[in-house]
Amino acid sequence: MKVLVIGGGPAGYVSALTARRLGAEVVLIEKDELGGTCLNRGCIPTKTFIYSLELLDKFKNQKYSNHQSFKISVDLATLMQRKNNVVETQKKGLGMLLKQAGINIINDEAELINPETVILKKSSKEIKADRIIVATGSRPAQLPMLDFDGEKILSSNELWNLKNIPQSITIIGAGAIGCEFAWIFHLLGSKVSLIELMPRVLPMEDEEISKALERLFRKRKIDFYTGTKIEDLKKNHDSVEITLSDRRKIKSDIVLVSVGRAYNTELLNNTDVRLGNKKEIIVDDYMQSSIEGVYAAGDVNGKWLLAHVAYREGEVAAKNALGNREKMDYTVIPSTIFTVSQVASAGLKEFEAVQKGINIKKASFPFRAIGKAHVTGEIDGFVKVIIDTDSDTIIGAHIIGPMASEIIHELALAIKLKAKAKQLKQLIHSHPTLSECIGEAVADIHGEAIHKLER
Amino acid sequence: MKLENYKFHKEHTWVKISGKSKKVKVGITDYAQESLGDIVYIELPEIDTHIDANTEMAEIESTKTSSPVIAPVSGTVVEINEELINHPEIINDDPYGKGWIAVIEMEHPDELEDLMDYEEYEGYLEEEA
Repeated sequence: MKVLVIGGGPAGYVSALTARRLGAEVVLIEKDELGGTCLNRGCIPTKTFIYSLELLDKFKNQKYSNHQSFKISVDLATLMQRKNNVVETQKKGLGMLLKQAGINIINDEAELINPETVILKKSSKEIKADRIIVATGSRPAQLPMLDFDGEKILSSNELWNLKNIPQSITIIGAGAIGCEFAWIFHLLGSKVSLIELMPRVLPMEDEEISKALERLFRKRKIDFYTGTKIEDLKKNHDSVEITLSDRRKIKSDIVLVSVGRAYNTELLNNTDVRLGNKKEIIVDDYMQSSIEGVYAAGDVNGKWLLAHVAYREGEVAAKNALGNREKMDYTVIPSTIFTVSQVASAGLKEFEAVQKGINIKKASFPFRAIGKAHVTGEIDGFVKVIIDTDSDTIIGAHIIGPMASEIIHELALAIKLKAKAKQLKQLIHSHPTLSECIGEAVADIHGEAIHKLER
Repeated sequence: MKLENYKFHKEHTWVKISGKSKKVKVGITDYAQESLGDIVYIELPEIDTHIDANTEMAEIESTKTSSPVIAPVSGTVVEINEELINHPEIINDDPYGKGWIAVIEMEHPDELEDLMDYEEYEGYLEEEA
């Protein structure tokens, strides 16, 4: 059996490795760099920046040390160098992994001409396969009047070419990408303004999380304008002036447009593979497209747009391509956003649970009541837990606060295993840790939190 | 302490009356700041917003907890204490003076009659304890 994987990002490389493990001959075609958006322009580069910049931010804070005797400043070139080193190390490792597995990697751009054949653009060669897995990912979506010009109006791809830190930046779209870059540029020292069409920042998250994040933005003097549209955009010689629907004006050096993603499905233009109205590939529960033998995993199917979901979809697509019958299970997907505070969630948001007609009970516990939060000096935020009162099972978890991206998994596991609040409360949480906050939030469901101050 | 011009709400906020003016200063009581502990942040109301008595008008974060500030009277916020944005600890140091939170232009001055004077408030605190 020969499997052809198009795209070397998270979905593509995992499906290639999985198919190989199952004994197939595998060809992987990548037109650019292995690792995809995640490794080259997304998850890894942003987190590398954030980690370094947060360290600097802590150094500058008198709370931790008296640093007046030395000067700390941000150097963009150094940050870029470190980012490049991290990306290259990962990429080399990934290349080795694929090579060791015996996967044939071709650096070229593929176009599908029928369900068994692709044609390569550079070499004009044709490759035939028994199964094809499309994992071509996504790219920043453009807005009609906001064409990316590579200079003043930028996408998250082009930000990585910046040579200087802008004095000011306006970010259009306060979703995960917008909120992460707002934090990055704030830490770099830029004046940041965020614009969001929906009534709150991170509109896809639980409402209480958005509210808490908005407060953190205010504390940090990151401006945000929610529930507002852009009326006009004027490019001046050295700045961009945006007029909002309420006539307010925002002037900045550059503009980042982060309003969503567009799907890389042009390679299917001459096929009958069914696309949705955003040009994403429509797949069934088994990751197969409308054409038998052609599968789609990762961003390109328009479902979750998360690297960790792409990994699993890639695995499921490869297994099914090789004759298995495994359904993709989306029931509990943790998601994490690295902004002023980390935001992490798993399971249902409160409004989703209410919409489903579930009889819910919720409890939140603040990090500031936990010793470890004071040790690290990061006391903002809370853990919120939602349960189904009929069964006492935990159905949703939302964290804003230090290390949220790491500690969410305890609650994700609890939801996945349908654990009850009473059971998780029984687990002794190590001290001093931030995870104690989870223990207290779960205990608080039944009024048993210990460190809760009555107000 | 002389707190003759002050009236107190059971949610531990105060109103400072000056003469016949409809504009009153509001803040939290010494008991409130003491129970909150070290205050690290206050979310102030916005100027020109209307607030109702007995509802949340601001929120205070301390190192231990966060707590809403309950408006003692109804009206419009005409001034806020901007000093508190960078120095919220002023509330701990001087809750009845420099730690005032906002000036409210009262909508129903007769609401003042529902509030306690200092002696009554002290009695109320003892009862609560």
